[in-house]
Amino acid sequence: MDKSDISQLSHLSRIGRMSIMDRSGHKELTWDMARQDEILAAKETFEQLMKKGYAAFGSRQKADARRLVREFDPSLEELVIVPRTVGG
Amino acid sequence: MAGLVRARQAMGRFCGGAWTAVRAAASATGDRLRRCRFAAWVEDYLEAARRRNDQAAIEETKTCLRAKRRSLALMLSLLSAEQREEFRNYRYFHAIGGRTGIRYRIRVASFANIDIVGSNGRTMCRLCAHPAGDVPVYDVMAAQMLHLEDAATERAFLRSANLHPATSAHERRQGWALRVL
Repeated sequence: MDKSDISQLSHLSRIGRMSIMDRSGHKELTWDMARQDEILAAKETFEQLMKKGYAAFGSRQKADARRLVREFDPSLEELVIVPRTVGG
Repeated sequence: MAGLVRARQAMGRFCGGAWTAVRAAASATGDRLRRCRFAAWVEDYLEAARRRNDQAAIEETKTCLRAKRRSLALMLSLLSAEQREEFRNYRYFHAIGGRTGIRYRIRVASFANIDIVGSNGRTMCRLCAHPAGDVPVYDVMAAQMLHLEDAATERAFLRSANLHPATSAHERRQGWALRVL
């Protein structure tokens, strides 16, 4: 997603939330869908975590079922980032 | 005159001996005092260390509880209404495999906590796979549910999971004991 795509989202004023699971329960990162700087920061975090092997599940609305997300989509209202799975 | 000299020498010897005795006694008292001070310092140090350890343990427990609460809140927000209700009543919930349609029961446990439920409702086997890192148990359950309910990740999750028999050795022994009785 480039800046022109992000600017198309500027009419939206919803808040997206990323919950990153860790030993503290989870960390939360929110972004305003109308603000490019927040979207870019969230995208950067998302990509860093994907490189580390995390999996992301997201939904356009909080009530919807979460689906696997491979690329950051700022229009998603909720994103849950899960560490890579290991067999026990 | 000679008598006076001898008397002075005797006095000097006497005083010197007394002084030596006094000095030795003072030294012993000082040692005891120093030893007492050292023992008191060690005691204080140990007490302070004990207090610090207790405080650290309390902080650790608080952090764990906070993490558990946060993970529980996240998990409950991800569950459907039926799953939430089931979890509140039984401390487990069911998830349907996104690709296979298999019914899984996810329980609150840190090891082999996913039951594969057969059509007759009995546990066929158990799975053990969890997110890497020291994440709280409810985050583990939420992550397992997300992976299993998604068609794109269920297979990969099953591949990474270790398979365990439906009953543990302990349960099998209990069952055997009950049959014998």
